[in-house]
Amino acid sequence: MAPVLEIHGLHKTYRGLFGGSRTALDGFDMVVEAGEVHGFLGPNGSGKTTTLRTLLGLIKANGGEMRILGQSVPHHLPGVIGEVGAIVESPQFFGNFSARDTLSLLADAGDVPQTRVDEVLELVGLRDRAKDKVKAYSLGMKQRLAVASALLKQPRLLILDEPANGLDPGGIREMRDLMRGLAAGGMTVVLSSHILNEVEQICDAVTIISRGRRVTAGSVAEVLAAHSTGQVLVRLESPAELAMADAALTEMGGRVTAYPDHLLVAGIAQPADITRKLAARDLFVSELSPVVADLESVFLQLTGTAPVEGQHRQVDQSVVATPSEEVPA
Amino acid sequence: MSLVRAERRRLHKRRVTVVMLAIGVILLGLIAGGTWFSNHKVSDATRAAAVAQAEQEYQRALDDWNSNGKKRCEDDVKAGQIPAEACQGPKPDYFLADYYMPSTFVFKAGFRDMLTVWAMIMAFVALVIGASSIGAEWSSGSMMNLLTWQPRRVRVLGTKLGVLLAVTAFWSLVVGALWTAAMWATAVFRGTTAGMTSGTWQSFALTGLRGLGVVAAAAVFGFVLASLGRRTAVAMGVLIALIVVTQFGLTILLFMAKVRYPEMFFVGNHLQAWMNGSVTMYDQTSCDFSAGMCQPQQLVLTWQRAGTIFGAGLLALVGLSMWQIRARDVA
Repeated sequence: MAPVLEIHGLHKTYRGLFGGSRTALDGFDMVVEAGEVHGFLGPNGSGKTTTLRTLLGLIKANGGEMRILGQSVPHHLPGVIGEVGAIVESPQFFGNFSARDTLSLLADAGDVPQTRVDEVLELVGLRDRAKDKVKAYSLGMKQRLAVASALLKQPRLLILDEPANGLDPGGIREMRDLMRGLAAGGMTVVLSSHILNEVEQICDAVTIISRGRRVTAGSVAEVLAAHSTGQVLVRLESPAELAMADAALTEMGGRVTAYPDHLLVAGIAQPADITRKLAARDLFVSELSPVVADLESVFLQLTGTAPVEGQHRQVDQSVVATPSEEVPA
Repeated sequence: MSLVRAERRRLHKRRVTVVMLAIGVILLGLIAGGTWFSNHKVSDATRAAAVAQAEQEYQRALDDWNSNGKKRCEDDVKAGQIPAEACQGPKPDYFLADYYMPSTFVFKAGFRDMLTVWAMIMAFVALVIGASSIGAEWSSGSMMNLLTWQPRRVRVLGTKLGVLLAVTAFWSLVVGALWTAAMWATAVFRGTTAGMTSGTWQSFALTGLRGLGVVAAAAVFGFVLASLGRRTAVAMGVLIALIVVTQFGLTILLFMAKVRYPEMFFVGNHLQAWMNGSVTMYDQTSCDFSAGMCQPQQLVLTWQRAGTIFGAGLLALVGLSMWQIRARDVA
């Protein structure tokens, strides 16, 4: 099946009226397969929103190719826009209109039946507040309204930029369940978010962008596996015996990093060898677990945005990948 | 058609639209009330009283002339201070009965000016509605939201402008009909409708149509400025700047530079020419008073010429806004 979304070599440079320019996208690539929930991650100012706006025809690219549902955009965007629901950046609505009016007007503009308005209001939990003016809404409620507007046309491709921003914990979980449900129903979801544990739970695949270039892409499992260190965490019944364990494991070829209450061991292929070796020396293991990389640590590593003590990282201080440096998943 | 329906609904749901229309109606209502109460029906008795008062005032002036003024005037002639022709005393023509009549609303004579009042107030209403209808959309982010539904930007802007024109024209016609009815009632009960012919009605209809043109032009002007600046405040700011620079600053500059027809550069004169048919301007610099009375050269600004200037300017602004929405990023 053809990808739902393809971006190849996308370039965008913002030019000031009186000179000066800033490259936001520098040959960015991205592929989203049908039916998947795809996480689109990157530090602030890395080009995520520019990418989404360019896809939706709000910004003109300086180069590159984009296809949505097999159609080249922005040229054929009017033909496919009816199948794309999107929220770009923060939810923006006219404050003096109610949620129902806002959705009803969008439904009119997009030739969507008015009955769909009540359906999406119910779906995002705004049914009982539908008559309130949007300016009286909290950020989380506006976010729900934004999601409702994106779902209004029952899109095949749903693009959500920070949909959980401002949501309460219950709302975040509801949003997660909603996206899972939509994906199960065959909808493809592109999700841009900084809540990486959410992305890890929801998404099938991710693309990470830094300084306008892709630094990695692939299924979540592949990306995490590619950045797994192969380390094993070892705890003993008696922490006082950690020094002896360290010596024993080093002796058998392991690379050991000692901590006050545990050891991190790398370079030993079979964890069973560790228990066997330590037991032979009357050292008894209370915990033996592989150290699995999480998406947050992979993200910080790939984008070079991990906090460094004593330093104040600036917005554009992140990794610039060259095509050959892209980390394969 | 769905976009047209959405825009029509959106425009009517906006608070600014409702408030501005209400302000327009209230202003016109106050003027209509003032016109009603400041005019009176003229009866034969009123006319007879005015004739008597005119005759009385003439006699009083004549007596005063004969007892004091005539001698003083002749002394001044002898002293060579004034020409002899100046000592002619009061004439009956100076004391016409009409001058002593209470104000009465003559529909045929007064309604054309009232149509201008209606057009100017509705133009102000249309200007604010036009500027706000697109300015608030941009600043609230709703325009960006809408463009993710309808990516044909020129079509979206063109539809919004078309709907704005249709809506302001519709409400201007409704208010204009009420205004005409109010003025007709004032003429019937506090004045006269005498002398009205089909030709007069036709002439008023043409003035009304030109008034509708002013309303449409104001709506387009506000809409286009706010669209270019993507803020309602930009339209209002540019308007105030234009008034200050062109109507005050330019006035001083042009008169100082002794430009031949400085009034040519004032929007008000063009509006007056458009509504009234023409405006005559005089070149005061062409006068040579040493040769006696001056007959300055004249320039007649016709409604066709004023309309062409307004039309060309608005067309250029609309073209610029269409080009801009097509070319400029939505960020």
